[in-house]
Amino acid sequence: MKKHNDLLSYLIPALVIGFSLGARFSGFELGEKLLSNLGQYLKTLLLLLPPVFILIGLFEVWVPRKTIDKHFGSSHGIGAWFWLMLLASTIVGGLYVSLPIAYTLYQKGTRLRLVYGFLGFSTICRIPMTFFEASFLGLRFTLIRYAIALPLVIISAILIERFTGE
Amino acid sequence: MNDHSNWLGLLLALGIGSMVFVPGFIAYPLAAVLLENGVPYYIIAGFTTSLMLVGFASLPVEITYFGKRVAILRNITGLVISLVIAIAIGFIYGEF
Repeated sequence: MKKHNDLLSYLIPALVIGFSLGARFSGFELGEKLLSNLGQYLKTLLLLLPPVFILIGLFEVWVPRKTIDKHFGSSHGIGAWFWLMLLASTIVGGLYVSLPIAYTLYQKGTRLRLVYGFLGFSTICRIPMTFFEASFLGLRFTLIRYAIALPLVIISAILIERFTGE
Repeated sequence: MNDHSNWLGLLLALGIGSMVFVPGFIAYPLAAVLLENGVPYYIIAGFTTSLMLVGFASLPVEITYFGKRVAILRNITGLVISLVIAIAIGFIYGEF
């Protein structure tokens, strides 16, 4: 990472914390909300990321490259998409969890289109999110969204692989 | 965002959905409130889908993992997919 990125990555959190603390003490109502939201995000990240990285580490050590190559390599079948969708649907959190997992899959020899597909799936069919959506917006809404999003994600994954090369 | 601002509202929803980072347990209750206040389904669809599929806020992280081209392409296609879903939802719910 470059120098100015480093500076920014300290500056922005510092600004956010400074602003929310300032708002908190000057009695600005939004400040309290900001602070509690910030706390919630931080808690989620701190609780979620260490186990995720431990599991990724175990995956790297325990799952042989051959297995991944056989199922998710360049000669993968249509089932590979399905399995990756299942895997992606169990993800809790957001891209900050699925990105490292996707990267590990890639390093183990998963074909790039499947990796991109996995990233897409992880954003549209996470199980907890689906329940939230169905309960607040209706099951019909969720089903329509799935029916349209799943094929489009697969198509876009293949297209991205085409455009960027192996 | 009422009935008279169809496309503008949708673009706004997609824009906001792409920029901000909101976890699902906040976004969906919010969407339900918007719905109760008369915001049409297709705008909700554009917002929640782009919220999940597109993340300009997490773009730097994505770039460090998969490079600039892939990250930007993935987010742009995500935006397109969100738009398609929003339009489809609008048609199916009879809002157009």
